Amino acid sequence: MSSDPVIISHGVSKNYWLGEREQYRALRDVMAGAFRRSAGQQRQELWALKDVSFEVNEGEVLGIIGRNGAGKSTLLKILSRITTPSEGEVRMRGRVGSLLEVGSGFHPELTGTENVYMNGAILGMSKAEIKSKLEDIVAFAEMEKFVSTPVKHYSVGMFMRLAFAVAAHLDSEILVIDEVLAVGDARFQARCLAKMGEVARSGRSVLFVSHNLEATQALCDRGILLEGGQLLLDGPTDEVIDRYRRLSGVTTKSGDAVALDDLEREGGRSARFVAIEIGAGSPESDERSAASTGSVRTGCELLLDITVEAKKPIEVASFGLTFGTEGGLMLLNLDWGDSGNILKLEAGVNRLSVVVPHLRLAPGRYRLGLRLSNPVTTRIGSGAIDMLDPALVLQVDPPADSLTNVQSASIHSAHDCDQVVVHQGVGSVVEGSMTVQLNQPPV
Amino acid sequence: MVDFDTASLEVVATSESNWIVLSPRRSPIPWQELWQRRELQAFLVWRELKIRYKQTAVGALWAVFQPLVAMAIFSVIFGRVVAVDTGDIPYASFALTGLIGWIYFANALAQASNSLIDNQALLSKVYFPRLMLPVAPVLAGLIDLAIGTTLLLAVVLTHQNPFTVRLLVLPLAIAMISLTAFGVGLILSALNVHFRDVKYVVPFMLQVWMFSSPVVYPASAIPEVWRPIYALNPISTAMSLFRWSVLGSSIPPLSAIATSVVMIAVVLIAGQWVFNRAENTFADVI
Repeated sequence: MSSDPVIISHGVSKNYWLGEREQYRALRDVMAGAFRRSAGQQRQELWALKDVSFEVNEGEVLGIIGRNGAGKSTLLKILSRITTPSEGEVRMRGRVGSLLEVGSGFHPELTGTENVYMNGAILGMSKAEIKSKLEDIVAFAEMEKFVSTPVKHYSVGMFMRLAFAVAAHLDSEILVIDEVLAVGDARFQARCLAKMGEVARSGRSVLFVSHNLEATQALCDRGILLEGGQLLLDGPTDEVIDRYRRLSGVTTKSGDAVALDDLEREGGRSARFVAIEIGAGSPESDERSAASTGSVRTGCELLLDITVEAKKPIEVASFGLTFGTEGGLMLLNLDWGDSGNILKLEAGVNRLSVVVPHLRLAPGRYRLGLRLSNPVTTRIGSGAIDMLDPALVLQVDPPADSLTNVQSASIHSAHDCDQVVVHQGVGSVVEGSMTVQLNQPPV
Repeated sequence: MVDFDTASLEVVATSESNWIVLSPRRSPIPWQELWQRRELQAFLVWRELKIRYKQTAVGALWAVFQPLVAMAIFSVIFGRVVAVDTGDIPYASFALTGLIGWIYFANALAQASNSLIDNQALLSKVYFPRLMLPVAPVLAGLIDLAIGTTLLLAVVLTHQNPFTVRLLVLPLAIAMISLTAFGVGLILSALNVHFRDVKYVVPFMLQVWMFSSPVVYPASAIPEVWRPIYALNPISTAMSLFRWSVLGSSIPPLSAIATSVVMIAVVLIAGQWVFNRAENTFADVI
């Protein structure tokens, strides 16, 4: 480690009390609480962060990775001085700018320009500084025409674009960035991420929080992995990301079999999905296939080996496959029955081999749903014999030949709630269709 | 991690002043930071003013109507029906003087009390000195007060000349009102974060407070023996001073002024103590 740290976090912990304690209270709650406590009832304590120590050196870009609830937000709140640690301490050198949930300082009655000044001042810019950057900010947000309109008349997208633009123009020695802020449509998101990349490479110290592993990998020198409020790993980004993937059970490699028997489902009485195995590429496909590395990649073949157990023979069934964002937005629904294909399941174990010839999904994480249904009513959710959504979360990596370019990684990295990118990528899969082959039960 | 302590100690020893320390300990009032970021304070005040009368038809004229309407009501009740003795000063002028000062106080206090919960989004997303939130409405109200005072001077001019040396005391009276509103506002705003009851208590409190102060009746209506206790209410002295400076009614005795100034100091110290104690947990609780 270089000897020039700008952030030293030493044993930082943060606890919250579950129950009424940490929410605001009405007096009667306190009185009631006093009685309850004297009656010996314990309040529940939750450690959102426990003994987290790390350092960030000058000019370093640190990625903070972890699942939801791992403590990332709490750590960011402490580092951006919104809340204080319960134990331990953080020492920081220089002005800290945080780009967490931009736009919180916006007032609906004020115009765009007025809000830029207000928000800039809240983030720590001086009036002169804002004035000199006003044109850049407005241009970045592409809001030239609307800056003198009260923001209450803005669309959500306009609002977020302007808010991000203000935050992105903040000059501070230490910058805390939450990638959730990539806002707006696909094109603007790409610019947001490009801007963050620019900031990250500008020699300032940056803390970057993201679910977007591609962006993290491209931007960060080092990463820390949080899990259950504790620091699990502090090391090179690749190592941390690899560990994170294993931790979060994201299926990326071929040969990963996943048991489905215990998952929550709809239906599942007469027949049920019991296991799925992901395979990527096949002997026939060209060298773009990633069979060697075992990753599921954009544009490559996706193979699924699915095991279905039926209690009794089912004469007519249809098989369906859905892809959705992690947030639950349905992106693609493939139904084998749509083209008149019918499955005939035997009692006992049945194996399905599914081939999606060209996986036109932008890199990212998708929830994969499986459906067995009565072909007469193939609408989702109706006539389901067994339905699992999600059956698993699928990590799709970029095609092998376009890796590690920040720009392209950024553009493809849209996830949650972004329909545009994925639709572009997806459109032709529907035409490309899939083939399903039923292997008769072994023995 | 082993050499962590020595490394950090060394750095700290060389440049203690540049390091921001975030720890569970309560931080003292960040005077330096408040001063450095005074532009933000100005922006917060400006925002208060800007949005106060947004989408109202008459805008800042409300600063005039509010006391005028109240004056009309009290003129009927205390000027005619109950007939309070205000000496040779017309009751309308008398009441308007009190109401201009009182409305400033009441609005400043009520808004300061709600300043933290009204800015929840800000508190839980961005850092800035929290003290700036309750300060903003107290300062912003001064503009309304200035408009109201102009109106007042015009009304008084119809029967006497308000422009005398006494008028120099007006800023002192106003300062007493502001500081009381700020001090009490600090306590209430911090309590409001934990107990939303405060929001509902404030209107009642203000009503009681108004009738405990010489707003629509003269301080002389209070029996002599109660006057020392009456002076414990800084607003009572401030109101009398305010009225004296404009209308030249009776001036409160020096002892009353001294008592009230001490009370204001107590309120301010208590206010910053309560606020400071609660400050660290605002974002967790709100």
